[in-house]
Amino acid sequence: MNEVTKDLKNIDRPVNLGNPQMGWASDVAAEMLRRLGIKYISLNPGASYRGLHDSIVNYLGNEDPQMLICLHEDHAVHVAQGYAKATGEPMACALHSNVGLMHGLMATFNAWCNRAPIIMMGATGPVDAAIRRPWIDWIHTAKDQGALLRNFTKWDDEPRSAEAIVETMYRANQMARSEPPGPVYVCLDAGLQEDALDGEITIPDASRFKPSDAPRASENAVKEVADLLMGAKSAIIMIGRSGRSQETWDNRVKLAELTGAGVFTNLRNAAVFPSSHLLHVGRPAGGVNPPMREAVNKADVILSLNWLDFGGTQRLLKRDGDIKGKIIHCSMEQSVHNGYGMELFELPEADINITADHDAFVGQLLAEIAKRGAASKWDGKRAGPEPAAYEPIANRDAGMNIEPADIVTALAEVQGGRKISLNRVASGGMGPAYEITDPLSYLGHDGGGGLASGPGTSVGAALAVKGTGWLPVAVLGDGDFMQGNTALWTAAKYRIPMLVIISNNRSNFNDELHQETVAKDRDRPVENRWIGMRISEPDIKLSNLAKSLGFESQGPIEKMGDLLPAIEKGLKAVEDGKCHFIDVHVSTGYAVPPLMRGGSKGE
Amino acid sequence: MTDVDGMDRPVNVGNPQMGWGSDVAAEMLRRMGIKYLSMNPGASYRGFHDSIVNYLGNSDPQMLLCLHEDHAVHIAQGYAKATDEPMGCILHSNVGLMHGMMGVFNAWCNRVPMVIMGATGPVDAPKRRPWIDWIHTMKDQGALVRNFVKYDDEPRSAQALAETMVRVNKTIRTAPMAPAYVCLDAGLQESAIDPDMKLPDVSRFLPPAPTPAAQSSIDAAADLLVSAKNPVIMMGRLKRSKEDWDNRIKLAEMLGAGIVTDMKTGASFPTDHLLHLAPPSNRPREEAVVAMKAADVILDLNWVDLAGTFKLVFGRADVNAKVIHVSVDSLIHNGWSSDHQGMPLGDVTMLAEPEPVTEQLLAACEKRLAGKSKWDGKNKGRTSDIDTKFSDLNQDDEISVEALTLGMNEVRKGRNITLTNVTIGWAADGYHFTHPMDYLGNDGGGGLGSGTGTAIGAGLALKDSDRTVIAVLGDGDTMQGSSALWTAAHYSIPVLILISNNRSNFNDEIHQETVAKMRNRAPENRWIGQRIDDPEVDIAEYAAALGVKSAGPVTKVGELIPAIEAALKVVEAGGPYVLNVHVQKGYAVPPPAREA
Repeated sequence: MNEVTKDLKNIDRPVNLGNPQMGWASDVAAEMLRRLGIKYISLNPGASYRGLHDSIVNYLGNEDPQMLICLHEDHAVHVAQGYAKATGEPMACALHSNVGLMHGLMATFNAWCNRAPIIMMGATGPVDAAIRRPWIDWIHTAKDQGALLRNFTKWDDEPRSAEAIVETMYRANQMARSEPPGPVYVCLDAGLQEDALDGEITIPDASRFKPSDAPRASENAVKEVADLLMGAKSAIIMIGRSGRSQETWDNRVKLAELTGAGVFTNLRNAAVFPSSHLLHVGRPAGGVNPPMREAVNKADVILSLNWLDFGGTQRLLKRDGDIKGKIIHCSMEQSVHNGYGMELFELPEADINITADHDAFVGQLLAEIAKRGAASKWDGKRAGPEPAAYEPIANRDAGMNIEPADIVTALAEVQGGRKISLNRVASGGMGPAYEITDPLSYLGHDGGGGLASGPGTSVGAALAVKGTGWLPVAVLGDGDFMQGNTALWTAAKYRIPMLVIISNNRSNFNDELHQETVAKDRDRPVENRWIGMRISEPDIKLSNLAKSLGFESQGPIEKMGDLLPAIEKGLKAVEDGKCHFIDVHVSTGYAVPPLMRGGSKGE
Repeated sequence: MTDVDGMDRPVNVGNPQMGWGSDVAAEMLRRMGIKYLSMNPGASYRGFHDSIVNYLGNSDPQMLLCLHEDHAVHIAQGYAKATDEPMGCILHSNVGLMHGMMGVFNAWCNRVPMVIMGATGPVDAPKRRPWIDWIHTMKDQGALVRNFVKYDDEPRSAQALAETMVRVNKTIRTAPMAPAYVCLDAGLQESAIDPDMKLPDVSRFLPPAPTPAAQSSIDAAADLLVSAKNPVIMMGRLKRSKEDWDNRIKLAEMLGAGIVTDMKTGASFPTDHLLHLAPPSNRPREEAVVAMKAADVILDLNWVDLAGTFKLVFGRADVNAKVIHVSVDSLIHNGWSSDHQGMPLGDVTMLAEPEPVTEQLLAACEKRLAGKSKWDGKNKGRTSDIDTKFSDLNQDDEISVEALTLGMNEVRKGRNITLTNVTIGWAADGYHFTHPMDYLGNDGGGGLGSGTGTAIGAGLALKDSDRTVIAVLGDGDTMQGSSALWTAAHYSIPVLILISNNRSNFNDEIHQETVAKMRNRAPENRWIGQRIDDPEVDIAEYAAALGVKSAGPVTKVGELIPAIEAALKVVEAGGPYVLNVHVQKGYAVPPPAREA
């Protein structure tokens, strides 16, 4: 086992650097990453960016940014997404030529759908054919590599000179960080990287190329919405994907308390509102639940603050009839929609559309309401139903099987005063007990529904909170985990403390439900739904697998009585700076079954 | 031992009737002779999944569950490399397709046939579920892979789908072979079909016979070859058939031509033959360089990178030999990928397949030589013997890549071993290829993560043959595709995965050293961001966790052969095995590094 005290900064230290001078085009790219404030660059190595690799090690001394080696490019991108989810700040990652880029594409799509800023550094074999090595440089040179991800990144470029790299990097930074944020891709020609600089390169000050503030709502719109909210009998605020700052969190709470509006949140997104607040309607959910329907049926004003898939949510809410309340939708999303991906979702109904930064809009509304000197409309009562009673795990029969929702519940029961930063909740959802109390209490989902993201994003999120007092915990499904499992090694290597808990149902279970739906539709045997789905025979010994990658591990935990001690032990290990892993065998099933597409016979 | 075909059996399938769009896709795959479909499940193709299980009864083709789409594609690639026949794989919507794309690129560069079945969320928006069906629907998914597949389609009706499938079958099996991608709309899959629809008869849409060359070109080439003093034949990407292998030997012996072979491609000529010039390599070895420089005629039979090899051999000097270039590869070259390599020379150029051309050349040369051979029977190469013996090595030494190769050469005695792939460091001097199935060639696209998957695909293809399938993989490559091992365990695929483990992405260390030297910087930092160490991955435990028997790390020369023998006992009884062998960092023959 590793010594836990090893500081990340002391890992992979270069020697004999001397006093390196910026002398090569790739040094310019490295220098720019430093000036942009990039702390880490996750990567899997490759000869196409050997020039940049050298610049990070021997020119920058492997710090600011420091390289984090991963075993797969899928991990490298997901680590960066996890970091962005926890900080709102971009990390960099490096993807080797066309092949590494392809390995990292799905993760890029996830980051895009999650609107996570990432500076993706790529490379191509020498664009000048004359300097290509036989074979390998030819297979690793493709024209316009950016075309592979142009439809799901905010911007990409392949600069042709060292001087052009400076501008490219400033623009990449602006594009990645401006609302809505997202990944950008910079492809560095291997030939250019290795060109000596021709004289002095002038790098203008980074402070003169900062990203701009996000657009604000017009004064008219602010007034109109303030009128509606303050005049409403029953308002609802649906809070979608938002930033991690405490100030905007506090503003959301203030707005809810001033207007007395019931608040909806969604588990696809990171924490935006305290789940235990009396104005939070129902428990945090991944979709639409009955308390939400009931609240919408009563509402006369509905304010969406960048609600994700507002159109689709409306479709689900409309099962009881049309939405009668006035609908306001504030979002910058459409500024990055294109004709390619459908992550723009159904076109939502809205009486008032506002293209503005929704967190800033909350501030504008608060200022407007304060100006009016209006008193709080909230009567102090709970907006949704009383929380359902549940039997604490500590009181349950120790021999019981574990249900998916029990893991997060157990986490809540042993939490005590610890600050837990929870990345993902797997199929069990948030359960009845865990409370979202801070912007870092929960970090949301993968964005694009692309599996393998759990381990990588969890490592990135753990990296982001290292040394802050937050304890990073990830609850991941086994199918997702197995697609990205070797990402754990990166946490072990860099001594990034984290607890990974697998909600292990030994199946791609979501797909079993789909096969059952189809079989029923076709009058075929539903009992074959497991074929091509079950990850058993052999069962994977997940705790051994984690151990082989450098984690301490426990499991499988199969009975209720073992769950609390296992998680307590795991949290203690993380407090001691360790990487800890728990395999929990859960029953197949969902706390709330996901929506199934109906067959030809309808739903 | 569990037979693959006995795994994952459905029950109560009764006598299902073809009734749904996706049934047509499944039925056509069966009629095309596709035996297996490697896959990772996803709701975008749930209709098709049902058709395989409950309409076809999960056989012909049978599904093989993988834990990642990268594995699914690479298994199909390995199967094709071993058989020259396509397997199928299934990739879920846009996300699974993206996960599988690098594998598709490898398969493309390797020119292997493959049916890639894909799917999209419902193209008809009202049929989409909120959120998930929208994020898993994209326009024209084929565009993601169009530059590196031979054909792709997204049919809009069951009848169109049937035609798409016969076109796919014909296209992927016609040289140059390569993958094709079929995207099935989730809505179409789940639509009932017209009960009167007719399926095309696959036998009436078969690929053409391999393309021969024009007789005038054959005559020109034969004239050059029979009058050459020092002919050289470069054996490139060629088929696995023994008959073609024998034809190549006949042609070489008739002409007395020196033979060059390549580690990028599968075994193409006996490396212990007196006409074989030097051990196969990623760059020509000295004896081959000398022979090529002295050659007056060079026959290129579909060599992967003729221009690049000439660059390494001749540098800036003129190539004085007359060059006969035989390949249909240019038929699928495009402006996007540079995998067409540098422009090959050709004084006589034949847009024809090397196998029929070999037969044509045999006939034409035989006629010109009146049945006599030009070969004096002398050894043209360095040696036909392996210089060092395993028994000469110090048993307590650490294991070098040469020792590993020699050890493999010991355990092959009495076995027909198929090497699916080997590391860059592999010492080809120590291990001869004497049969077309002895070696299957590299990954094609230089995309890591392929080794484990392709080895499993080859093991699947050869499970009922007399071949013992072994992959010698680097640790960097292995760890990028490691969980593919579970699929081998689940289906009891007989394959030995031997990890030549130097605990590093070592090839890249060499690159960093090169760059540091060019820049007068510290080459001693070359390991940073490369080493897979501290903690070292316990690969044997990792494999065991996935249900694969394993051992290691093996660290001493003396432990090597007993460890491989023990591993092969398990493989020969019908299952996978992972052997972790620690090797010293280093290469037998360093690959070319780009210089300043």
